[in-house]
Amino acid sequence: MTDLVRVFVVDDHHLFRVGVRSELHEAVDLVGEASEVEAAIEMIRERTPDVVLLDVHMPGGGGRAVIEAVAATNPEVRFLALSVSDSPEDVIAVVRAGARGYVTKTVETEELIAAIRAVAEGEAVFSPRLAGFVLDAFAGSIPVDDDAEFNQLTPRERETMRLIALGHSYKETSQRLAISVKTVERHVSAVLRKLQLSNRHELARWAADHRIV
Amino acid sequence: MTATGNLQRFPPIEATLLRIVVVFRVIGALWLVTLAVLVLMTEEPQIDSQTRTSLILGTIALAVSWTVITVVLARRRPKVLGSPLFLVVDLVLATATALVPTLVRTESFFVGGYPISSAFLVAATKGTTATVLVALLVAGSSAAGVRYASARAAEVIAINLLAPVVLAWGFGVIRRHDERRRRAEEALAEERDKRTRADERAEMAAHLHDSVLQTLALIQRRVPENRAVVRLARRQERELRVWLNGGPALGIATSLNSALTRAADEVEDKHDVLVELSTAGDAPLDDRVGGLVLAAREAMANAARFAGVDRIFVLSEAGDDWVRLVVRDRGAGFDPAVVPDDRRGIRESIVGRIERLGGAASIHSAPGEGTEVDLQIGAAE
Repeated sequence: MTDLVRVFVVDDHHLFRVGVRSELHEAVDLVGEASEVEAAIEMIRERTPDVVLLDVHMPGGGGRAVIEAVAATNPEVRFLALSVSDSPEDVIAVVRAGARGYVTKTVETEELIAAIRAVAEGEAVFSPRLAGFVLDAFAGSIPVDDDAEFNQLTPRERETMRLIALGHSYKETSQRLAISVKTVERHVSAVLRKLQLSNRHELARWAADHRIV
Repeated sequence: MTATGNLQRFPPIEATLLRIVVVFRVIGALWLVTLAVLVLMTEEPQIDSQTRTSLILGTIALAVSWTVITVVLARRRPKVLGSPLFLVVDLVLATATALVPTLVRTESFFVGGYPISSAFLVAATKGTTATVLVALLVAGSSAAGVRYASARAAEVIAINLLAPVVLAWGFGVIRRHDERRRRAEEALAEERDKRTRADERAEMAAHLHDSVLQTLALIQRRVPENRAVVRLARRQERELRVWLNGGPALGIATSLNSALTRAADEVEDKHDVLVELSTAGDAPLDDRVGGLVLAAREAMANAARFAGVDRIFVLSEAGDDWVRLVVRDRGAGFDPAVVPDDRRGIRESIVGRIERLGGAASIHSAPGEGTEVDLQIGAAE
């Protein structure tokens, strides 16, 4: 069973961990779980899973703290963020910290498994909601003074995000745009990188505008 | 003298101004006593000696006792000092005192700075006009009081007129300053209060987030076969989320996004589907945007009714003068060329509505390939 993806779950909600365990135990190799930021960092470093399923909202610094601490020592560990939340700024913050994707907790089991495998392969996983957040974050065609390319989406990347936000799979997106699935994946990875690198002030302002309270 | 208005708290700034005036009066009274004793001891009497002595001693007694009364009242019943009755008595005593040096024909204007404190009191408790009038009276009586004294009437009049007016102006400046400071403090306290409430709400929101929303998500994952439970959980989640986001309590939509969220919620509730809504940018809700949202709601409802899916995707994009809404499902689809009779309403209520708004609408669908309704108003991107 060594070819199964090794998954670690970080979530402070006990019921959710139990649920994930019972849904995933056949499809992936669950190597551990943690409910606190400190414990999670320690155990992930020790067990070096392929993919960490990470709750965006964690007491004690949030999921972001886990990503930043682990990335410093174990850059090969990949993160897939989950949340129940609509709050875009938290999600974007976790992606900017280095998560390879984001899905909502109401995602169906098969989709979750597919997302875990994709992240393990090094792909970026954009749920429709994350694609919507990205479009919102990069909304408006305000020119940025330092015109760094990562401050704007190309028309193709924007179109890719639109199709994903409308629930198209990567494959459907590639068919619609008459490009290969690999090219779609490249666009998505590019968007992910831009999200992480972007210093456009709109992104900062956008995050501020969307504060929950 | 009654303690009228004592129920109301005396403002601290007024108490301070009164204290300044009272200190002036005490100094004036002490100065009067000193000079009066000097007159008695050094000057030759110009009038009947006994009359002179009793007049001067009487003035001392009156000035000292009235000053004591003023001090006590300032501490116990400060409001009384500003009452008309007190001010009239005070003024009568001041003008009478100012006349004494002339009555006893002394060279020394020994009452000195005492009468002027009456005008100071008016400056502290009444307006500038009252101060000028009282200052005129005090200056007049003082001018009459220096007839035999070495002091010059012009100087006495000038000081008695100018000092109270300047004081009244100074007090006005202090009052305005104090008022501004008090307002700033009140605003600060209010702000602090608001922030405390916001913090409490944030804490509550964080708690609900960590527990209730998680449970609701779990219910939707774990009991998908029980549609009623899932629907209930979803509705609770939605309501809670609206509240957490500080959403409109009465559900009044004011923007494209809030109207669209409501429309999506209604469709979810009525048709038991999940609407995945993404919004990029927002726009104010006017008639055209409202019409667009209604058309989009119709498209969502149609997808829910006919597509046979449990998820509908909606993407809204808004720029400065344009809005584009796409509603998509992965369901049954249909051949747009052969629209069934029972679905002619779609074209009317979706395409027709958008065209009447001056926008563009297109429906892409094929059997087995889902449906995409693309609605747009305003200039293209």
